[in-house]
Amino acid sequence: MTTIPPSSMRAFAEAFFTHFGAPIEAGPDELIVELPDPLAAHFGRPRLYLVLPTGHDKPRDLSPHEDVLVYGSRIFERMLALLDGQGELARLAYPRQVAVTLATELKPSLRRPVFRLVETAVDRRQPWVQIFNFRVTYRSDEKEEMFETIVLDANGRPDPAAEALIRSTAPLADPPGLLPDLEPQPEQAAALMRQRAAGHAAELQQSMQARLEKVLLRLTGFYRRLMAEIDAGQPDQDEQARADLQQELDRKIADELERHQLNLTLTPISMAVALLPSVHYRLAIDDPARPDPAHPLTGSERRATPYEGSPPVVNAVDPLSRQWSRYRWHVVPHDDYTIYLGHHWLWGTAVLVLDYNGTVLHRQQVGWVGSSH
Amino acid sequence: MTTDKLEWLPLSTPTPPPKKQLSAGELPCPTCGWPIASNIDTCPHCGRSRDAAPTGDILATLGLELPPPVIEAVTVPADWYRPDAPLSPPGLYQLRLQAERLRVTTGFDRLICLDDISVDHYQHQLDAALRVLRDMRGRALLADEVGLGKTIEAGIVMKELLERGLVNSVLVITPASLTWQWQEEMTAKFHESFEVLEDLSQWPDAPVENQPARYIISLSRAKSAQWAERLLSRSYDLLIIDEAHKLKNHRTAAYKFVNQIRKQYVLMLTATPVHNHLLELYNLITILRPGHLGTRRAFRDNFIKRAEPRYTARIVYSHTPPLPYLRLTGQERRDALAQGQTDRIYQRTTDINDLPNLRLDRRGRRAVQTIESLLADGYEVIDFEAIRPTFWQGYSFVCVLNLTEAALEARQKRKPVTPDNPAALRQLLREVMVRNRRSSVGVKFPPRRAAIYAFDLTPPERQLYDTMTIYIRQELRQSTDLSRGALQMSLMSLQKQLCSSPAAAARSLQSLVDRRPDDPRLAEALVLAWGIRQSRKLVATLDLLAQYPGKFLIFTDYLPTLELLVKELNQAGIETVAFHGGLPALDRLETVRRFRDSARVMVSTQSGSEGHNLQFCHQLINYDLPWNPMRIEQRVGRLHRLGQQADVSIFNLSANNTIEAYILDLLARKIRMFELVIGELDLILGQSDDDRGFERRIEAAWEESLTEAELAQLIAQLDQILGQAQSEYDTIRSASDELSDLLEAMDEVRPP
Repeated sequence: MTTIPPSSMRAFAEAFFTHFGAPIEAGPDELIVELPDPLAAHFGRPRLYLVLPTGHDKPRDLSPHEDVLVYGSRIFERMLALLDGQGELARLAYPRQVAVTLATELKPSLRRPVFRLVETAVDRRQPWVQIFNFRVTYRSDEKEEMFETIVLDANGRPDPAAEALIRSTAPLADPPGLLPDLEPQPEQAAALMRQRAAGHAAELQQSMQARLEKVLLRLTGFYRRLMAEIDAGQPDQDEQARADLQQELDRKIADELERHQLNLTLTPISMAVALLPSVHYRLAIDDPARPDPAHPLTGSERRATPYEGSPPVVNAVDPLSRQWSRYRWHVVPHDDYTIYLGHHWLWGTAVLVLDYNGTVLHRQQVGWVGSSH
Repeated sequence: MTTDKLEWLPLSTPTPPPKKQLSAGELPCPTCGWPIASNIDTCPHCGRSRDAAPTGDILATLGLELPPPVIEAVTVPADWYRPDAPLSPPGLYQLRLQAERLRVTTGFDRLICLDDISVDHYQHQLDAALRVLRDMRGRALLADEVGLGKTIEAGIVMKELLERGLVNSVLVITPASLTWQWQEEMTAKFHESFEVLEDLSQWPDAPVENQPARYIISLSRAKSAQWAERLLSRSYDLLIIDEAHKLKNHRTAAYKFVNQIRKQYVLMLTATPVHNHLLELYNLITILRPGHLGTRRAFRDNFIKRAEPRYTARIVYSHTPPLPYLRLTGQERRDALAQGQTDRIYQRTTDINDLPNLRLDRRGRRAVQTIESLLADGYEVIDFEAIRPTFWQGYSFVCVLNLTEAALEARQKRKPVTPDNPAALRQLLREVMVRNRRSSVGVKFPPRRAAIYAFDLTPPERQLYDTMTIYIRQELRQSTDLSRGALQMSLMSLQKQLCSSPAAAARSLQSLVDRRPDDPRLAEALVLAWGIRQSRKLVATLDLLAQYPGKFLIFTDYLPTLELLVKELNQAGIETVAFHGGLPALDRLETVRRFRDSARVMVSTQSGSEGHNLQFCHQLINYDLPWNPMRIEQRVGRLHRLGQQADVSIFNLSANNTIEAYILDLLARKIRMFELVIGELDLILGQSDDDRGFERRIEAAWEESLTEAELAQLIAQLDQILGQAQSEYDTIRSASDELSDLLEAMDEVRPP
């Protein structure tokens, strides 16, 4: 099964034109797109020469037939216009997600061949979730927008774990044709979105308040000094002049308060119901000094074999800048993942759990000279 | 004997002044930003301790709270999902999400409008726009040197704010001469339709506060009571003020009006923010950010070098001899007034704040400026009286102030922009002001040279010109007030066409003959015009085309001349295309394409050529001369602009002893307009502007003179006025250069 690539302007352009059946010829910083009839009419020409700025060079000079494809560019706007009103409702299926946690405190002294890997506790779920996507606009004296996704479980409760999974994974392009047995609850999602937006608004207001205070200090300081400087020797006129200035100050303060009023707009974009199967594993590594724990389901024991495996196929260097290849590895394959237990005389013990796409599901290192998780 | 003469105009090359070094800057107050000297602990501006961090108690002190956020109701469709609803394929759903993630705006990290404007923009303009949006929060004085594109910068800021939905209503205030130009630029370059406000009926009956608006209005109109009341009845998201130096005087009605406008974002545009005194800059910035430079007194105390403090002598400003009344002492004047001896006084005031309310002529206004700058220097008024005598003496103006001559002398020697605490001032200015110099942004205009091709008209052309000139003058003198307006326009137009070509004059004459069939002089002139087979200007043009290889852009204001030129040049074997406002858009593109690819000459009227890239051509002929010099500048600007690679040559055809020759002489030799950077001409003419533009002055001189000698005399007066304007502009330019130096100068490093 294929998945849809993540967001970036180039990836988006490729996905966009592929979706609409337009052949693409890709260069290092350009895409040449042959547009089929309906698309040609929409863009006003049969072929697009799209230039994608690389970011580190000076922008190249465009020839008249070329268009730059960046945020806010006319071509980008035309692409967005074509998508308006589309993709608002979908049924999705995500690939099975595997999550692993280590239940044992890892010790650096875990040495060959004295450890034992204990069979894991398994928690299998296959839930339906509801996904709601919003654009939130925060507008005051400047504008900020955020794209937000709210995920509710089948019962309408917020599901942060599912939200995290969805954020890191793309759905399957061809989902199994199942129908969910749930009633989506957009009002609950909207309420949750409101709550979340209000939280962010509070953060924005803090910085805005600092700005407003600075402006008010400037204005009040200025007008007070102006009032203090009035001295024409005619008390009535002076008083009137001060009153006029006070009135002007009040008006300007009111204007500034209005200018610093934060307006939030929540715009629903799309929603989906999604099948989000997931498996959660808990691993335990036993100390042989203690009695061997039995498998919680089968009751059997598992004794680890000595280090004899290949290093994991991940980045050659760990976050502590140590080469994985200098560990000695014990490898335990599993249906959904592979466990790598590594040992180094100085660096101590490392546990890596990788799924079959090479994604690190869990990583933990404990050593004499540094640990990371 | 031929009288033809092609004369290249001399060019002068100014040398840039060396950069200065400023003394160490003050440290800004952590609360209000005001620069505080290192030996002072409390900010003289906001009163807070230097070490105090900004706190939130000002809101509480004022009994205010930050308004709570307003959350617009979420409109989630209740039936958003139905099991039987048509579903999008996951790919499309995901594509939409990708698009939505890419389209979100995160602050002013980038400009999103650039693809929606039709402008050849430059890096310094983009930097300026981002700085205004990000660092100055949309309130800025755009003070680039002339020719660097302040209008483009303002347009980009405006478009960006519009596209981000932060601005819904825009009010542009410009000098009267620029309203239509702004409208055209906003339409052609930024695709925003603005309405030029000219008639009160254009104002909506009940303007709603947040109603969208795109208005352009002249400053003189906007400040008038009727318009001011309407314009102030609502707020604007964005206020743009072009040629903002017109607001340099805080006592004027214009300043007071603009200061009252409620606005969220403000852009003030001027290449010359300081003319005579730093307080003019103070006034502009106080509109933008009241209090940013403190009170006037604080600004004077902190930044302005004081002149001599005392004064005893009496100064009288007038361009007429002081009236006997003014020779009286103060007590004698009071007695005279008490006895009702005021029959020769039309307006009188002893309140200096009333100065702007006097109706004054140019000299009177200049006198007011002088008084303003004296006051700005710190002089205080102890005996002030301003009088405008009765009408029969014209708009003269008399004012009495007490000052020492020594103080005046000292003031005249002093440069206008030399502040105390320059580093501190610079620090404050940088927060609200963008000033790019041509030398610092690396933008170079191509060199240009101009020549006058002078020649004598052929005898029949001379006869036509002289006959009709006499006729037109006579007709204008005999016309009644009722018929004058329309007649004046058509006769003036005929006079201009006489200078363009016999063909153009013939068409205008034909129309006059149709209206006045009984006038034999018109019919004779028409026959004469028809009979002229060869225009002397055409011969001169062919001569230029033979002498100088390469493409030529020829400008004329009149279609008959354009048609004649295109026909004659093509017949002479020179491929020539015609471009005028009547061409449909596609034909215009095709014409420009032909000019670029094959034709050697394009003959164009002024209208419509804006927006087309003609920089592949670098030679221009002014076949006839608009009497409005700004239009000549616009013509030159079609080729002499950023992006032009070659030296630009401008040929001006000038028939001896015609009004065109006088105008050309004035513009080319007196204010040396062909040496000026685009934009400078307006600044010079602005110095001499007394509600009548240059064009109107020329028309008046021409109308008022019966003979060529009288015309020469009136033109000489105009010459004097322009000379004065040029000299004033030189002073202003010098002040502006000083300001640039101040902003660019390096701070000395403060010892730890």
